[in-house]
Amino acid sequence: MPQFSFHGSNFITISANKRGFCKAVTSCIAESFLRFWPSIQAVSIAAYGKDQETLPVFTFILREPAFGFYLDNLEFISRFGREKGTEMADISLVNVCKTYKGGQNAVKDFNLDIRDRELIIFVGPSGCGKSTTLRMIAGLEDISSGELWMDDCLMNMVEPKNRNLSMVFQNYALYPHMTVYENMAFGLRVRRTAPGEIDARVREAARILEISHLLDRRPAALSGGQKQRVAIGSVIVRKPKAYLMDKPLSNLDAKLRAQMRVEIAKLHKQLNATIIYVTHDQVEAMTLGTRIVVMNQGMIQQVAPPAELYRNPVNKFVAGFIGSPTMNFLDVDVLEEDGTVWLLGQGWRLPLEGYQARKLKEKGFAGKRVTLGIRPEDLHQEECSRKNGSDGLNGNDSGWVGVYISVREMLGSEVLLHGNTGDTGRLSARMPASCRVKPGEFLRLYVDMPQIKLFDIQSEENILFD
Amino acid sequence: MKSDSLLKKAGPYGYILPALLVFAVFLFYPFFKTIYLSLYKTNKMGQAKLFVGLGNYMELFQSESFYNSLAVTLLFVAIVAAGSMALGLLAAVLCNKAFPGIRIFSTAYALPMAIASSSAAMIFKIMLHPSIGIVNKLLGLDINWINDPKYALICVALLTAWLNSGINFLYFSAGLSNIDETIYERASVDGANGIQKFFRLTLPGLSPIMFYTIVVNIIQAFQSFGQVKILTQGGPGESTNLIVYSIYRDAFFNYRFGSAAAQSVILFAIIMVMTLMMFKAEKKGVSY
Amino acid sequence: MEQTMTIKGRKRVSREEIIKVQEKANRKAMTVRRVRTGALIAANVLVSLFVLLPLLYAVSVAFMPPGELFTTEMNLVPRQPTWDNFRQALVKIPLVRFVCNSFITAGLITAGQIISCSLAAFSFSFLEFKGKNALFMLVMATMMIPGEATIISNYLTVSRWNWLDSYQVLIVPYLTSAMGIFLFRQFYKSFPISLYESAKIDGCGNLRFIFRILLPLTKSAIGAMAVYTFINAWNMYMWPLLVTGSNEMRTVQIGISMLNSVDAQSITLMIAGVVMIILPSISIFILGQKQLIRGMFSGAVKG
Repeated sequence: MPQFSFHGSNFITISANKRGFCKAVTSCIAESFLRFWPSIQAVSIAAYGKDQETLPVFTFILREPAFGFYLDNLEFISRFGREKGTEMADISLVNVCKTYKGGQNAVKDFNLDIRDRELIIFVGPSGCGKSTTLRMIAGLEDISSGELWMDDCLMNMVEPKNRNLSMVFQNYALYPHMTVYENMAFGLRVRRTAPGEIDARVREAARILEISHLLDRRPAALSGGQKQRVAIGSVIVRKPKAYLMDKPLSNLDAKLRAQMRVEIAKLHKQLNATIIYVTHDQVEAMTLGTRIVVMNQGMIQQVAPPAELYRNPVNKFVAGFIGSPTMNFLDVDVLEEDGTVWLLGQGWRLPLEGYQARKLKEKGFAGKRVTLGIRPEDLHQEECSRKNGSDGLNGNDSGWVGVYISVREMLGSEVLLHGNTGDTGRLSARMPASCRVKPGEFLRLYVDMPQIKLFDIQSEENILFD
Repeated sequence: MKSDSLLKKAGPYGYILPALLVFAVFLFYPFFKTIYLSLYKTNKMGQAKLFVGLGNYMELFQSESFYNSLAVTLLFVAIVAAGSMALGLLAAVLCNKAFPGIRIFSTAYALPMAIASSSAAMIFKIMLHPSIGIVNKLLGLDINWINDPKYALICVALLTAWLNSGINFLYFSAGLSNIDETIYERASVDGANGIQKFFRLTLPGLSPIMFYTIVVNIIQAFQSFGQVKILTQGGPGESTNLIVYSIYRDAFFNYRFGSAAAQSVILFAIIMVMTLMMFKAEKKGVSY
Repeated sequence: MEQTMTIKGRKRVSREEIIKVQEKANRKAMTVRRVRTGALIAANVLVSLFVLLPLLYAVSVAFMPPGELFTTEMNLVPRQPTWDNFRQALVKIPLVRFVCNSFITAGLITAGQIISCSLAAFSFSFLEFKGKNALFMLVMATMMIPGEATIISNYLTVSRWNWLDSYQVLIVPYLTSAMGIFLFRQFYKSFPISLYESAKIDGCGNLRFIFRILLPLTKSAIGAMAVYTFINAWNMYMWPLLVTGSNEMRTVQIGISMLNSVDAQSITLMIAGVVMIILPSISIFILGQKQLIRGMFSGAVKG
């Protein structure tokens, strides 16, 4: 495929690797010339070395900035290439299902378009099918039904080694009898890359990951964190179409995990590549991902950026999965009285905001039971100032929940209070460290009403989802 | 009380006592006695009569028969080690991934280890029979295997290799199962095909167990006796006169216990040196 | 390779076409997989036949009437199988006596080794005493001494004691083995020492601990050791050859070579005899195979 790039604002270059140089490139050049010829000031033909290949490069120098042309000629450009950089993959999964011999469905109807260069994360509890999906993308598992497209090629039947992907495994899968250098070089060696090239790439990757001093060691002589870096180093030397990572941080201790999270985020920016990342840790998901796919029992629950997932979960599962400590769930009755809609608990009631009440009534929940979801950080003590200052419709007697505190957890910068409300309700609340409440006390916790979520009791869907 | 604490102190030694006693009488004492005997000429009863110092050894180092035994033994050990390991490795690789009926096959491959060398030798004797033996019939040849100085050693060696392949199969199977499965998956994604995976991952992964197996095989091969006694009795023309058999003949047919003892000592020294050399090689060669 | 089949340009290809191509590829993949498994099984059949050939041949010859053996054509399977060879072998040599001898000696050797090795390994694993490491090295060193280095002196020793041609000469020298001690010690290393300590605190003596707690819990080590030792003892050749002479004391391996001759009548007899004495060791091996393998490799032999 020829590559069509804008450099600065008046340069357009067209280049291609050896395999792509043919009819496609020639027609690209010809067509560019025809389109831009009024503004072409000069044309240059050069050759430059990339990956030990010499490539011809055609450059058009324009009189005016080319960006306007870029916008006007998007269709033309999309036919011939992308804006800049190496070929990255658009990966699409269409109705992908995975069924095992016993009849169990590990993955059901997985539909996802993975965009170029994004760090997309599959997250969910154990057994939700996220690793299985990743392995199907890699080719290590067969796709029972559905399609996997990469770059407009149907990849279902393509062997893993021909998919040009790279994978980091949970247990790192380092070759125990090879040194770190040889581990990283393996993928290139089996593809018969030139030794000089191999050396350059390995050393570069080692430099980026700060493991250059470990190149001669064997995996047995490495710590967990070092092994993890070697595993990541092995995938970046290959410059694949996409990087797959299967729970890479799960075998590290908490401190190292936090460190490596930052490293991976930095790496993503540095590599500017597509990364598909699997984890069961929602903190990792929230901090790393550009988009997150929440899965449960083989099905996608929601695909959205982290903030969206937090603010607007599609159902009770997503709401309860994202955010730590988990959201509190209480079953309450909906009562309409004097024009206000109330949520009735045992000994307390919460007035709904206008739009919330409206939506509830629209969907016909008046007089029914719903599940109320409140995040621990949205519960406030009377003495502490209410976050948004919204008092509901009636002013002072606005929403609070009566809780008997049973446990107080001191976390250093904040305090977690756990308690019971009514017979069966359990609540947790996050308080600043100055909070003095002790177990055994009764507390009124004021609810930040705009932040609450309401879920249908049967379907568990978010009634207020938008 | 003093006797109590003494008993307590002696306790641990007491548990080792039976084993140590047997070792002392039947292993340590005879070992030194053999060295002692090798310095003497003996009578028919095995009593040391005449002190000759290194005389027995000198005689051996000047005897053609002894060098022949050495050469034959070394060649034998090489063939046995190579053959049995190749067969064991092949069987282990074939039985590595589960498939229907794998139990039957793995039992079959390990079976030779339960068979006595003498029993096997008798079976092979018939198999190698020039006119009615199955080997000649299957290959369409007419060679008198056991009585031909060219082939006799190979026959005994292949028999021994067959006997040892059972235990090698078990060792290699254990070694293969010690290799982490996920590195094969990673190699798949990295771009390796089956052959590359075998030579770059499987064989190096087996190297620790291979070392151990070679040592065990060699030590065992040096001690082969039953096959020789039944198949060839050292012949034809000394072409299968392994050192062990030569020791047996010297001691119990020629009643030259002194000379036999000297040969035993030399054999022991050879095994020692080879084992030490291999341990040294392991430090350099075996990666892990 | 068929597996690199790809389809380009999804926007221009209809759904039905995609499904059709997919199904074709799926079917191809299925057949490839079946062929691969089939080839693996075929390879296994071939190699295992090669490995079992001597045994299968022996069984076949054992059932052959002597006349059938001496033909120049291929006779893999007897055309008129007969039990006669077995009957005659039992008559010609006191095979039953030999089998009894072998059973007694092998059984006693096995029992003896299990006891002496487990006791010694117990001492090395659980107890502390001076010179423990040195003694253990000494025991391991015995594995380095080959049989030939000691066999002559041993013979001279036992002949001086007038032990020749008896049960004790066959059994006593083999009442312990370094490999056994090593095997048990490997097992005991993974035995939770807290069990021993709590037993000691409860006032349990060492011997009682061994017989009531340790041995029952390490049954697989005993099983492995039993299978291995019995088979090796059953297969012993050189030592019994040297130290027994009379028919009453001969063991099975030596006794069977009494049938060793080359005329037609005796060959089938001999093979029948061999088959009969191989049977016990093979049966024990097949039955105890799982135990044996687990026991030998639980310590993860890593060289």
